[in-house]
Amino acid sequence: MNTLFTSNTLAVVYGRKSVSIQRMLDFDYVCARRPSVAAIVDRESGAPEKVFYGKTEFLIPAYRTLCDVQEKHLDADVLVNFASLRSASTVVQEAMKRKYRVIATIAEGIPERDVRQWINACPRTSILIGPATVGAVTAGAFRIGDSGGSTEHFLKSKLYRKGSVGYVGKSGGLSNEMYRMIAEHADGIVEGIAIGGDRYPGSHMLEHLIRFEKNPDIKFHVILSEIGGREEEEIADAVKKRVIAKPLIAWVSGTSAAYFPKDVQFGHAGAWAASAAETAEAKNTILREAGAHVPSCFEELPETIENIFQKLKSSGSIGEMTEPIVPDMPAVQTHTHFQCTISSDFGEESLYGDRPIAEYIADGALIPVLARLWWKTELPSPVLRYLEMILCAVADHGPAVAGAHNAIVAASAGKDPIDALCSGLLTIGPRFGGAVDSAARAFYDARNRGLSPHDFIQEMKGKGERIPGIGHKVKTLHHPDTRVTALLKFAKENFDALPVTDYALEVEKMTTGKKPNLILNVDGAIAVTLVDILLPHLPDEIRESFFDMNYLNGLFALGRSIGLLGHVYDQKRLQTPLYRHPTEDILYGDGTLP
Amino acid sequence: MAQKPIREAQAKRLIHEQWRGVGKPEFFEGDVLGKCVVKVDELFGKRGKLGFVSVVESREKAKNQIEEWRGREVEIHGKKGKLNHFLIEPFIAHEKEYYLAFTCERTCDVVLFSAKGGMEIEEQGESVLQIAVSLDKEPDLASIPKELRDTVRGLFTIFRTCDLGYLEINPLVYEQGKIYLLDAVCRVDMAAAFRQKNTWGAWDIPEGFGTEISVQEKVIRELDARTGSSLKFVLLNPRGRIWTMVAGGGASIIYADAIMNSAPAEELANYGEWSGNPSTDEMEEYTKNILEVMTQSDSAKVLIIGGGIANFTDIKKTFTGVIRALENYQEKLKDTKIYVRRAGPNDREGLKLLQEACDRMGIVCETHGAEVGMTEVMGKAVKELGIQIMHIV
Repeated sequence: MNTLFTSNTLAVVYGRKSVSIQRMLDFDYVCARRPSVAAIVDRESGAPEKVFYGKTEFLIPAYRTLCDVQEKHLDADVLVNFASLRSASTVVQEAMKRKYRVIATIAEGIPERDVRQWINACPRTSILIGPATVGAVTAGAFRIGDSGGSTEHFLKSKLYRKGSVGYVGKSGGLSNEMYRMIAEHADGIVEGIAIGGDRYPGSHMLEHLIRFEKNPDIKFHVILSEIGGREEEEIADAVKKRVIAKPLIAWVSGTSAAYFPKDVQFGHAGAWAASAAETAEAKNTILREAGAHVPSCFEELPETIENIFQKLKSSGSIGEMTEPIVPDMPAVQTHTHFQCTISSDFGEESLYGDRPIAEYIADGALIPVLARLWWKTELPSPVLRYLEMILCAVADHGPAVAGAHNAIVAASAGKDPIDALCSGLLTIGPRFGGAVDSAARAFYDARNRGLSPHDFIQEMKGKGERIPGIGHKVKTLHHPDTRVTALLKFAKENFDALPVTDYALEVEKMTTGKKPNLILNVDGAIAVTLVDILLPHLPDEIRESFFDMNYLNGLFALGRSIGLLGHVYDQKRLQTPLYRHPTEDILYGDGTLP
Repeated sequence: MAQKPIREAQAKRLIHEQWRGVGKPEFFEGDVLGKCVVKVDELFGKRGKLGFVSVVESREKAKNQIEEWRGREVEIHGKKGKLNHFLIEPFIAHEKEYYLAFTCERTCDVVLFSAKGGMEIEEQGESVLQIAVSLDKEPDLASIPKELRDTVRGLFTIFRTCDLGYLEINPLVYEQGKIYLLDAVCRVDMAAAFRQKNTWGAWDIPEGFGTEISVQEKVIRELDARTGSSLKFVLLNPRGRIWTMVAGGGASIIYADAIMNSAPAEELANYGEWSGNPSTDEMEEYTKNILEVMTQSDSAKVLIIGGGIANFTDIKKTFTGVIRALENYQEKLKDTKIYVRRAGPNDREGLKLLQEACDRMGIVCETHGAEVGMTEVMGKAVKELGIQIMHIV
């Protein structure tokens, strides 16, 4: 490739730098290319980033690791590394291993030995840009981060379309100044790179100049270097040997360094001369002698650029430019606060997912609505039927259990039915009804880790924890819970493979061998059968976060709401007076004998 | 965050403290008795030739020598400074001297070795052995005298693990089975200070010879250390009439060049650089400290707030800090003219705010954006001061 980037280049941005990411997308919009940021790496959050393409808001996915990103976005071969100076090295090393084609590091102040190690380990197929830079830009195609500045300024620098100049310099801050100068005194850049002001930048100016040479769109080069380092000797040599044959305009700043009354370290870490050969004068001279166009001071650079440009234009090697029509950037981009992906009341017809609610009504089935609104999917009919069975199984379990009891107490205190329902629902937690998810996770994990039922039991014992989903107050192997029997029967008859269920039943065999009431209880049965039956039918994104979302406890709460409301209405109809717990049922004091 | 030299005594202490394994050279701790070498330990070279290394018969005489040197003002390469740091070591009678140095190249480290110790590397010509060492490999020291290899390897390990940019031992002496480092020149990579806290990172790294740090420079340096942005200020000549607050490492060099090209060097009061989108408060603090030094002299002066077209530094936000600082010093700025050239995100609003604030305070100020050349305001400023434009080019 003759340019660093094309209008198809896609990038991964490491670090949630919202403003810089938006600048990249604004550039894409003005260049009329598709959004260039494929994904973000944010070690703290996987929440997608809200951005704009023109005035249309959309989301860029975020991942916690580079590994996750690469699996999903193989076509993004540029890494824009906004990691801090302390973590940037690890990111670069990993990005090189993962063969990112261009790795641009923005952080300043990275130890020199680290960067030298990057250079040493860098595969031939990768190009390092930075550190300590703003990045690079290929006109009309792609920009790294903030390169080119705000929209107003990159428009004036004409970065949205190709000119005829290849620019490479050290300073990130000055690159923008130079793009403008080149747009005003010539016809703009084809590509611009700021290699960064460190002593050992990841890529050299010369490497970029050699690429510029091969690019037929580039008619002449401009470089802006600084005091420090001796790369100019190689560049001068390349000019002499005609490796760089296109006209080269060069300026090395820092001519004033010798006149300072004391040692001054300029703002760039690399801007100091270790020997006479590294001074600005020496480097300007060697470039001038090699045949580069070197003005006598920075202020004459625009004139030098203009002269070369006019010369190439009159010789016909640079033609007339037809300016493209550039889309207007919207004056304001305002982010929304909420996002909804499951239903809509926005258009003519209200929808669940993308299907009209009216159709669901006509079908008259509840579980397909649940599947659509909870998991954004349709489910095969045996799964639907099984979910309905579960709702039936959990709807109620008599007035004595904690949730129903609380709902009854609240109802008898005169609370309205919704308050009383909530009182019952708020009781659902780790000890009441909430064991379904933890049981599902426990059996699923144990089986995935290849633990034998015996080892699993030993592990739980070792941790001093009960196995969730195992054990019942009164039911035993000989007096089984008929709810469980019914669920397992249907599951076995209708589904071929029930690996987690089978595993749990193996565990049950061992636990009941010790104590007959250590059976797979109703929570456990629901948990393991649903892992087997429901999980395979869910979309990938839903399945990945399945256990984090506590969907199974949700099913319990949904089903139990039916029973709780039943109790509340029952008490209201009976006009139950306020409940007061009998004092003789309370042990007062700290329990010591008087 | 560049490389910085440390004193000979510090370099030797570093080697002493960080040595692991065999081949450790001799170090002297405690009081040196008998014949000894006394040296000035300031950051300049060729001390022997300048008469700042002396061999004396006793510790008493060494002390007298130091008292004679102490506080003396000398000029080295145009930089004036006082002698304040000294080193006493036992005198080592020896015959053979070696030269040893480690340097960094882009993709390798280099070991320089020569049997002609005591001479500068430039004077040695062909006799210097150069061994390039790949960054992920150990050095091949087969061509170095056997009795020195362990020591060279040990020094090289310290060079690498302590993030040194340069280490020179000249002369390195081998005498009766013992190794002595008679001189050491060392530069540390300041960017690595954070991970060298247990070696040199927490030490007081000296300024260049002749550099005295003003209160304001110190405050700004601390401010710089706290922020993720960059805030630099070096006072060159408090009586200079051209003061600068230039944004950007690259642009600040170009402004310095432009000033030195058109005015006598002593007119430039300071070098400064701010970049990386500092906050309003940081900018206010930074500007205040500069104004504090600047307003100490009565002469008419110019303040140049310059810079290129920023990529991401918010001009409005940063200039708001500048304005707040100016408000604190407005009474003292009657003889100062401010020239501004800056562009970037929100530049129009920022420039307008600054212009209006100066007008309101009665401070003479002209503000420009990217429509004028980056250093054009320099010409105007120099003219304002009545300096005849001279060209050093």
